[in-house]
Amino acid sequence: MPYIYMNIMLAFVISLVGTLMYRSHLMSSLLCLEGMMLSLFTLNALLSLNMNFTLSTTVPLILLVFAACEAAVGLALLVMISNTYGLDYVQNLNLLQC
Amino acid sequence: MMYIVFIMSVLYVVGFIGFSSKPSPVYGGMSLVVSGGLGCGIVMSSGGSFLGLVVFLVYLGGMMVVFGYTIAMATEEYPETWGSNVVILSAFLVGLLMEVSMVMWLFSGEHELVGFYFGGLEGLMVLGEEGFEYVREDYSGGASLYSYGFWFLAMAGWMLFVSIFIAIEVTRKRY
Repeated sequence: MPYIYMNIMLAFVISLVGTLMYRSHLMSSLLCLEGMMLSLFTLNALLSLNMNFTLSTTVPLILLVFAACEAAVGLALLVMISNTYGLDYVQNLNLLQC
Repeated sequence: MMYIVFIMSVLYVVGFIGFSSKPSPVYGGMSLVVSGGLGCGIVMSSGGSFLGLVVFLVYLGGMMVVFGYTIAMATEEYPETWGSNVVILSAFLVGLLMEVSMVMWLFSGEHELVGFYFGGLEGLMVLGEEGFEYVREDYSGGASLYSYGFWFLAMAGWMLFVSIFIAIEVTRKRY
């Protein structure tokens, strides 16, 4: 397996771990989600180009469209949280308590 | 110069570690922009000039701009950077150690894992191209979105349309 694919898959796993571990801001988790989408795009584009699957080069484009929709919904939620609490700190989201 | 694409992919991973160690989102967005530019370079080195342009225009120029001013709206007075907090710095160093150890393991010889042979150097060879190609793969693939992939196009367009209404409904005031 070429080295570049391993690096890009490692980048996906790193941003997946970054999405799942919260620190203070919700925005940094959304940025890690965007990083996951970028690494998936790069991996899809490289595989379609290197294996000469010409019709599969539409897959990264469609992936980017869905990532844009997901980012829009995530940012809308973050804007509402920021309007309610002043900042997007994760510790403010404490209405449901165990 | 033979290893230029590999070095770009290593810097790509370092950029990913940079925003996954969770500094303040201002610095995380900057690191994601750097990684996006390097990802464009990696895609373009395999001959995908259209897809590299799509990364810059749509991803960095569209989505990251929106993220940029949302970050500017919801930010704090003293943003944390990689050097100001020991947690962020240690997460960054752990990720960097993981990447360096993976690179050293890859270059230490041939390995075999469930049928995949990696460690050989054939993945890094850059073959010279003579003349022009008669099929530009990524342009014709992007154009086939409108002919063979019409249903993809219809679903993607409908999803973009619906997500505008979703964003309007989520950000509606409650009073």
